Parts: sequence; C-alpha cells; structure tokens
Amino acid sequence: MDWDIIFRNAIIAGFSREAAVYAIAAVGLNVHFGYTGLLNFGQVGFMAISAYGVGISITQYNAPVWLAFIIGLLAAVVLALLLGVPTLRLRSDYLAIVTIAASEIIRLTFRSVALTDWSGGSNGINGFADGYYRFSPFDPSQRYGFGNVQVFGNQAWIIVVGWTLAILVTVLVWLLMRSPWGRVLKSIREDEDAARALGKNAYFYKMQSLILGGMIGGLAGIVLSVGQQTVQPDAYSPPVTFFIWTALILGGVGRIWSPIFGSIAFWMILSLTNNLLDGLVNVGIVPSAVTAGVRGGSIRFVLVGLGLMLLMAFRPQGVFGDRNEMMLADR
Amino acid sequence: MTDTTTTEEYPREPTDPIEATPGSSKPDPILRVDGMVRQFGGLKAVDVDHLEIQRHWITALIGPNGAGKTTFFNLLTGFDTPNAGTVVFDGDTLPKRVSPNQLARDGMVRTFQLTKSLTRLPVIENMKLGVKEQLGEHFLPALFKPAWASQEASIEERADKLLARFKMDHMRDEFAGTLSGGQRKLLEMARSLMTDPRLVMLDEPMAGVNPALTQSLLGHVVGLRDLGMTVIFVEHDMDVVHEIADWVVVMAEGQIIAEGTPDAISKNAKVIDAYLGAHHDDTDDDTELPADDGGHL
Repeated sequence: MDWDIIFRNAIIAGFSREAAVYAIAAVGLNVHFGYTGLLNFGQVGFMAISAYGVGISITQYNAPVWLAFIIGLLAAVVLALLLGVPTLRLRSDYLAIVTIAASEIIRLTFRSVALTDWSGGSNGINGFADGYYRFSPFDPSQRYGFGNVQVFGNQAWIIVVGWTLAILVTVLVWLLMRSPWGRVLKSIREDEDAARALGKNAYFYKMQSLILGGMIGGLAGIVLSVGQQTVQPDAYSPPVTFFIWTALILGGVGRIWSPIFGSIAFWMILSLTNNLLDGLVNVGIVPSAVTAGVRGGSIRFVLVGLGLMLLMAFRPQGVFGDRNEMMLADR
Repeated sequence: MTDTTTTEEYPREPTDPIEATPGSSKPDPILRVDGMVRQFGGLKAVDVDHLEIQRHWITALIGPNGAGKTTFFNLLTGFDTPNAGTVVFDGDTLPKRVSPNQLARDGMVRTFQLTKSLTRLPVIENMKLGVKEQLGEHFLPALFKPAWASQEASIEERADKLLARFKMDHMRDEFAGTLSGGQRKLLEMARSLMTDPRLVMLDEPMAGVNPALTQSLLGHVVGLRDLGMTVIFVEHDMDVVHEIADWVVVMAEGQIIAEGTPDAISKNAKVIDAYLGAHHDDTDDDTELPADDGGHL
C-alpha cells in the first residue's frame, strides 16, 4: 500500500472546497441546533436557494457578482421567514418536518421541466462563476500547494476563500454566543417557557437564529456552486443535510470550533476508508468482490456509518463536547 | 433594591375588615379578575366570577387536585388564553391575548410547578438572564462587547448579591442541572427577582422540597413581601399556608369557593367539603352503608 498517496488524498479531502462548504453549513446548523435547539433537517434547502439565487440573478438578469451574492443571501432570509413564521410558535419537531420537506420542494422545483428556461432543469445553471474567478490572484494553469499536496489555481482560490469564510462565520458566531444575545438563545434551547417567563420573546429570538443560521447555510451553498462552477439541483439533495449533521455531531454540538473540525474529520475519514479499502484490495487482504463495481462507494459509507455508531456509543458528546454537560440535558 | 428595606415602607392593610366571601373587594388590589372562563371541551376548568388580590399581601391559592389552580395561573400569566374574562393588573386592563414575555416585562413574573432551571447554563448565567432591557440582547450591539460589558458587570454584581442572599453563592459556576430539586426552586425564585417584579406568582414553591429547605424557602417568600412585592402562591400544605399567607383563596372545580384569613379558611365548612368530597353529607346514600363501615371515606 502507498501510504503517501493515502495520506495525501486524506489531506486534500480534509481541506477541500467541499470540506469548507460543509464546515460553513455546519456553523449555521450549530447556530440552529447547538445554541437554539432548533431542529433543522433541511439545511441543504438554504444552500440550494442561495446558490440558485446567485446563479439565476447572474444568468437571467446579468447582475454583477457582488449583487448576486447579496440576492443569494437574501433568498435564504426569505426562506427562513417562510419556514419560521408558521412553525416557530409550535414545538421543535414541527420545524424539523417542515424543513426537510421544504428542502426537497426547493430542489424538485428548480429541477422541474417547466422551469428549465429559468433554472436549467436537471442540468442546472452553468457558466455564471466567471465573474468570481476574475478576482482570483492565482493562475488557473499553475499548481499551488505544499509538498505533494497540489491543486490548480482556481481550486486554490475557492479553497482559500471557502476556508476564510468558514473562519469568519465561526468568529461571528463566537462573538454572538459570548454575548447576552447568545445567552437568550441558549436559554431557549434549555427551556423556552422559562425564557418567556423571564420576559424574553422566544419567537423573535428563534426567528433571528433561524435567519442567521440559514444565511450561513446559504453562504455555504454559494461557495459550493461557485466552486463547482455550476448549480446542480442534485448537489442539494437531503443526504447533504445529514452529512452536515454528521460533521457537527462528530465535532460536538454547541461548540465553537466543532463544525470546522468535524467537517475536516468527516472528509478525511471518508477519503481514508476509501483509499484504505482500495489498498487492502490491491494487496489481497480484502477480496476484490467487496468493492467491485458501485459497491466500493457504498462500502465506505457503511464503514463511516459504523464509525459514527461507535462514536455515539463511546463518545456521544463528540470530540469537543462535555459528556457531563450533555447528560444534564435530560435531567 | 436594598437589604435595609423594612416592612414599614410597605404598609400592609389589615385583613380584619375584609369580607371573607368569594370575590370580596380589597382596598388596593394589584390584580383584578372578572368573568374569567377557560373551557376544555365541555369542562369548565376555570370559571372565576370576580377576584381581587391585595397589594403587598401574600395570597395563597389552595384547592384539591384538579381544582384548576395551575390553569388559572397559566391564564393569568399569559401561558394560556381564556375563553372569556378580563384582567386588570396594577390599573391596566390587559388584552385578552397577552404574551408571558410581555407580562414579565410589565412586572408579573412566575415560577413553575415543575422547576424550569436552564440546566446547561451555569447558575450565574441563569440569574443574569432575568434582567430586562439588556443592550447586549440585541443582535448588533451583541457583536461589540464594549457596548454591553459595563451593563453586564453591574448585572453580575447584582446577581452575585442575590445569590448570596439565597445562600447559593457557592454554586455560582455550577451547571444549574447539577442542583438538587430544592436548590432549583431557590434558583428559580432568585432568578425571577432579577426581573424586578411587582407581582410574583409561585406555582407550588414547596413541592418536593425537603423540610429543612422548606423553612428557608418560606423565609424568602416572606422576604419578597418585605421588599414590597405582592406574592400569590399555589400550595397544598395547610401548615405552610398558615405560616406565611395573609389571605387564602380556595378553588374547587374551577370556581372560587371561599376566601379569608388562614384561620377562618381552616374552619370553613365549604372548604372541608371540597377537600373531603362534596357529597359526604348525602344522607340517602349513607343509610345504605353497613353500620360497621366507619372507616370508609
């Protein structure tokens, strides 16, 4: 087995633009679930609506890049209001059901044949990201990186921007959560009625949280679509939401750095299991029938799932979480 | 709020001249309820014609299980909406549908029968949450610590003083979830004081509290009155009621059936009926019971 390649691939995966996207989206989810207790099972819906907001405003209305990004983020605000107004007065499980449904409605609407002229149907929207790459300081034909970890210029540009944004939103959330505003969110997470009995307008704060986390999710969707240079409807399918949840839980819910750490770890583990499996097949330890055809891709998710189950059994609080604190939640 | 406040500053009206009948009028009511009805299907859970709560008194709300005490509490504090009725709080008629947060900001604060401590927040953060009008609770100022740091410091100082008064200062940095049931009751009461309430409504503050802590809790309830607050509390234990209540309101089957001083209430035939079963004087049924079944209730 070539350990060099295995580790190189793991590092590339861990710091890839996808990892940055998941990290940003997980920061938003952490605002929702980790700090406010909102069950959002449709984070990918916020990603999709913002990505389409950018793509459509550039390709259909020739909007400049900066305006398109603002429109994309405002689309996430509108979605948060649409989801929040009817559900945030109800118990948290209602939001969960509505968000998962809404994320599918968004994807299926944008990929529908009737809207092909506008949103590109199942082909999505292409060729809208040039305006963004014009700002790139990197030469698209050159390779950049450290040692044997190398990527092309455009890739390097989106990775730098993606991870910068991931750190910026993390700092933003840190600033908010150390403030009395964050204290109100956490009190709502613990017991909404107690917060209301102390004069806090829980509905209003939950709405602010939903909008903030949704906008951060939207930012992740924009980074993803710009990175792929296309808005593909099926890149915004429900499993993405659950991978983001996985990354968040891996790091530890309600911890500042867990989304970034969790996302890096998630993508490294995916890459490691994949490459290790291939390596083991090559040296004959694992029979080749196990990974033949499409099975290889599925097997790695089986292994990641197994790993998660073990994590839940032995370290349910995630890497950064505090077990004692977590156990208090049920008392 | 200073610890040197004495009872003389808040003169309590004597209870003697007040008529001990349901819905009797008080000289200076902080809360007035008229025609309040809450129906669940065919059941009238609360049906209160008229009730006045005197300012600076400790009023106990008692009644057998299912009398509608907690529902009545929920209606008064905005956690439930009545089908009919008006509430006048300190001179202001409240809208029919009013949110608990609005009432808390207006000075009516409540605690819960099942204590609601914010388990994964430290005790001190629980306390600090209670303060109204915090600049740092607004989204944009929250981002800039200098904008709210000085207010936060003064809130913390006040919270620490209050924790010391409730003898909980040693628990200051523990998660509220690690406290015992009785300590949580204390924390909830202390936290509600951080809102500067005029009317404190305690839903079974002594439930599940060990006898040693009960005395300390009772002392704190009396302390609220001495600081100028009005207290309404729901309670089952007549000994507790006797010890601290100025006035007792008795509910049964959703209605106010009696009012009066604790002494008068414990001798009231209607109240004894309500607690022991209303029809125990139904002679027709009694004659059919076997003569030797004396212990039958």
